[in-house]
Amino acid sequence: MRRHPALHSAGMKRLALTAALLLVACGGATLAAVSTVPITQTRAAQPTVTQTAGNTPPPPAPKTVIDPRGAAWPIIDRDGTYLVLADILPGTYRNAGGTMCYWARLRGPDPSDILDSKKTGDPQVIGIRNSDIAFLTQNCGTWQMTSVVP
Amino acid sequence: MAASTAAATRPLRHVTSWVSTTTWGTAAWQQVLAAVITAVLFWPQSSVDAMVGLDPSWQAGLAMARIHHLAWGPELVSTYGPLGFLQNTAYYSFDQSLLATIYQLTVVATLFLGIAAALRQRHAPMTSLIGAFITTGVTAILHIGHGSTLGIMYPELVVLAAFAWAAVPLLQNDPERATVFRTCSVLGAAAGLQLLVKFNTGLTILVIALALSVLLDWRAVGRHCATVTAFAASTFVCWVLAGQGPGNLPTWLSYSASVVSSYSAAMAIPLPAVGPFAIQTVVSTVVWAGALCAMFIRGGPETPRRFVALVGLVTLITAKKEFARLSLGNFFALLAVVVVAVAITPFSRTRRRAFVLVVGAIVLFGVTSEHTYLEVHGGHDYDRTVAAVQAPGQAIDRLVTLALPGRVDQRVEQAKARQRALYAIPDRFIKTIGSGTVHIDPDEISAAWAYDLAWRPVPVFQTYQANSPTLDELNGESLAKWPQFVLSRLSPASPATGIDGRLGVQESPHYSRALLCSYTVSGIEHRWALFTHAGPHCGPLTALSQVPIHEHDVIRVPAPSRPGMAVLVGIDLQPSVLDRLFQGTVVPLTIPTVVLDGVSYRLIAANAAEPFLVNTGASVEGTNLQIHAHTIGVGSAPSLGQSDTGARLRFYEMRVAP
Repeated sequence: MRRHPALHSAGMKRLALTAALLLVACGGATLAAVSTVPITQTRAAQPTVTQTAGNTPPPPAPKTVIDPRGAAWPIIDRDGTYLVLADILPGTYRNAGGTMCYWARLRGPDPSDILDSKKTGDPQVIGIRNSDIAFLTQNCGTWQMTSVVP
Repeated sequence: MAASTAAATRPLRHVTSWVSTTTWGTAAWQQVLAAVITAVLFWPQSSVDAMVGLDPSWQAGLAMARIHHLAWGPELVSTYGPLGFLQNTAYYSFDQSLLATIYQLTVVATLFLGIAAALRQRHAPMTSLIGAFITTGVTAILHIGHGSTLGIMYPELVVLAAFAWAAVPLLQNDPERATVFRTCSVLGAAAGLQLLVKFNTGLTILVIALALSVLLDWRAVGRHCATVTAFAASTFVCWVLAGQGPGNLPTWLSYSASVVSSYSAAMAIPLPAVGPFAIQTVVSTVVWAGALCAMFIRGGPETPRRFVALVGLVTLITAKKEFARLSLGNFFALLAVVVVAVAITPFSRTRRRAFVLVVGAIVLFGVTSEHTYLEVHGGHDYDRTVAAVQAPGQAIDRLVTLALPGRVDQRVEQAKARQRALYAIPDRFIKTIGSGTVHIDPDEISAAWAYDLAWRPVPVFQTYQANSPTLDELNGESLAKWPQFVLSRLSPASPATGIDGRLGVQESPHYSRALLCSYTVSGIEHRWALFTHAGPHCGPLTALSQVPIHEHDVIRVPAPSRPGMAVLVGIDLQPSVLDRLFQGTVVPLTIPTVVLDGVSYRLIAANAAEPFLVNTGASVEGTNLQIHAHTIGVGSAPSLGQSDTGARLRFYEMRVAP
């Protein structure tokens, strides 16, 4: 019958030292922090802050930045031309429609270098691909990413 | 039939016999030649042009720090150091590209030689070289930065090389003291150099060097001291050779330690958000840890426990990094540790078969996880295999580019022109900036390179790394003093968001206040806002009220008392035990959030106490500082039942002169 060799005390010391070194390498982080703001003037507390409800859920959110699992979802809610992989990530985006909404997937920085585009007031679902260079949106409201796959 | 089979296998037997008996591979020059060939063959993504985006921009920052002779420490802080440019794959300037080429080839060659030396303890010279060739290739391909043009993660490859070299004496029955001393000292010196390339990898290599020294004889205090001395001396010498003032070294060390120590809590991705990929990585890691434990318990002269302990140590450090921010790249770095460890571990034939089966399953399982990961996280149309096949061609292209006069400059100018076309910064902004100093906000640093601007950044030059009050305050105070201009790339979202769903103004509260209070908006055009330094024009913070708050509570943000007033809030978190354990410090299962008008944003907990803007006046409309929140709450995602978690909101008001 094979016996497991016992650890020698020297071996234990080595391991303990190694573990200590590991802790040094890993470091740590603290969660709580102390404010460093210098308050140069204080005004009496005003009743402008009211706790509106103990456990009332917030009003329906028109967009999701962090979902309940903790995953981050990009949104686009300003008009403009955005660089793919610099300003925005590729994926599937949807919006709720908008009067005279115009969007375009671009193959270059020039707004006339169009891969695909549409002018509509209906809700839209679009796929922005890795190979797209830019995405242009005007009057389309909020674009919410719904999937990372275009 | 049998005769034909025997005839067919005869050449193979000849080759096998030659491989195990030839003396080719014993001479140093033969090993170095093999190492150079391996390095050139496994050098994927070695010849690329500088790109736009967050990751290419920190590379641009590392390159420009050298071009503009910035002082690391007081003027610049990052997870990388003054030699960080050595791991840049893209061309930013000729001398940097040349030095980076030498560094990168040396890293791969050193890894090859380390693996070969470890294999040489049990195998014939040629067998060792072939084994090292295959292992280095697999490891290099696993270290290709996922989804971008970043090339190989060279600093992490250096850690593996240090591991392989440290394993050599641990695999010997009775290693010579002089050899061990030399190995520890050289590893200590390498750690010093590496510290200035990427801070955490330098520390890891120092730990490996000290672990080697301790595992072989914990009483050899002189050797431990020599290792640390070599590390310190190398750090200092490399710091000076990098053109940095000796007096700035302590400052840089202190701030870099702050960047590294605040990284986990701020950058951790909660495992539930990663989906099935998290399960795959956890299972792979646990199986590997179990295999290591079994190997340690069995022990024996063949596989020394001290060697297994080193493997365990490197696994722990790599796994901590992996789970601090679970990504394909970090997971593949752990797989690379498994591959190298298995390659150099001596086994009996029967045990090796069982072990290789287990590890083969882990690696296969891991590699298939790429698909799972991309389904959840997305990624570029990027194929590791294609990169590996293209590697030799790219290596030749890089060497030719460096050899031909003017070729690097030509590619640099082409890349700049391409970036200028993409960024499209209005001409009037560029004319206004002229030769004035400029900081790029928040992270598109490449713009300063593309337009040859006089880059004078805040020290933590990409603000998403300023994850502690110390670093945020450093940035805020710097911004209040300089530069003359801030060129801000506008966020697609309003209020502005940062990486991982952060709220822009909360990520760096001190910095945001400095931008609001020391600069005025000179123009907004083409997704860019130009701020001009105007001196302080904000009043003091006036405390308004304090409100206790629990998860799911909704608090109304006070309206400004009159036009031209900004409202701010500081959050004193009272983290529960669950928060302390599972918000990135030990196991990342959840993240803290701040909820504005019903929308959750990631809260940078360490900076939460510093008052951040929740309502700004008209002076910054259209910029990343613009925010008009009506309600606020705090929470966590996912919630682990911390409903009793409390916090205290402190509201302030501040006058902002136009």
